Amino acid sequence: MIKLTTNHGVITLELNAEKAPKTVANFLAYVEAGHYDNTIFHRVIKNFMIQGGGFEPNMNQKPCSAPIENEAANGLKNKRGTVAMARTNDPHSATAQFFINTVDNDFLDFKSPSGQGWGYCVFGEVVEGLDVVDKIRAVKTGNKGFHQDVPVEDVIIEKAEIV
Amino acid sequence: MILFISDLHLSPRSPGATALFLRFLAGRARQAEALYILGDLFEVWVGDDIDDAYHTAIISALRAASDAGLKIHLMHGNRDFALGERFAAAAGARLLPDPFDLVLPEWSFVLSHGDALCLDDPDYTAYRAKVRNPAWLQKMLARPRFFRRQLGRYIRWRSRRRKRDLNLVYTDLQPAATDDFIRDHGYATFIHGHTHRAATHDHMVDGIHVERWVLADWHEDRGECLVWDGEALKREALVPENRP
Repeated sequence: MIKLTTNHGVITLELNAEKAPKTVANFLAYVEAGHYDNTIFHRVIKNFMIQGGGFEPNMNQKPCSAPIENEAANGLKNKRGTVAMARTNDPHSATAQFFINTVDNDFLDFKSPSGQGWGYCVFGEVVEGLDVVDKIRAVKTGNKGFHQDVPVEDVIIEKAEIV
Repeated sequence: MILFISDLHLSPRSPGATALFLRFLAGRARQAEALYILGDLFEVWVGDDIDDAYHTAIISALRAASDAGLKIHLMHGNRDFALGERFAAAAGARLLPDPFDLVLPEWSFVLSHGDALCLDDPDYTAYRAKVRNPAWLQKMLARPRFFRRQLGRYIRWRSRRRKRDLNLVYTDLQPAATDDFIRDHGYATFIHGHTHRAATHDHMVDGIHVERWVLADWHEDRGECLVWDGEALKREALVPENRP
């Protein structure tokens, strides 16, 4: 289990190493390295998801390790409360940024191993603190620099730890 | 704030670099007053009248940034030397001569693509003399469109193959010619691209210290722009955005 202590409360995640072994190993490595400590949820869209793990409070992007293989074909669905990896247009480009689905997002699921069909890899779910996720999804957002949907007041992951 | 970029080598074969550039134009670039593209925005250009969807998308993105107030300046590179006034007008950009003296109230720069100073490669020097000859260019642009489309495909294929086979090493600027160039341009800070060797060099010319900033080329997963904030130059990495 992973405990994310945020300035809105604690979110506890259970990771699925059986279905997404590489993604979970990657996430754990970032947790152990302290990468997520003092990062923010920098992209918050109420009826979609909350995304974080890549930026410091001043919107400084943190350096990451090498990208990982996309394990989205593991059968796990992007349901409300699940955790999945964010990535660029390249299906196999996830590094540190992740998101928590705030609603069922079927369109993010794996469809086929090509281009847009790859989808986004679910590798765990919120087991405690979904109310905290709901508090975060409701914060006021705006544009910061050239980023959209950035919380006006920082939503900070103060500490991420393995419990 | 002024931004400098070069050597994006955009083509339908580089969707990653293309996405980075489109995002750059819609976002980061709009925080600046002016953007200077110092050559080789495109991997190949065979005429402003080749209006396929790919080129149209790039032109509209440039236009949108220009309409939003960004002053876009564009220099020819050794790959896209055929970019013309029609393209510039459609994109809302201004074509610059090479070299170009950029004199700001607070500092002076001289901008160039950089290939004109790569004099140690006789093959390249001969190629450059040919393609930069207005008569040759006019003749090339007068060829039918289907021929030029074919030519564009061939050039892209050939450059991919050359890069693969030869592990292509670009020749660097000739030191003596570079010193002369700096002297001719009043010891201004020299910014150029072409060599794909991003670095900042210090030159001592006639006892005067002059910096030479070499811009980075763009890749599928990263780009770079050089930022002038009124006081100093700084490199800024451009990386693709993570999203679901």
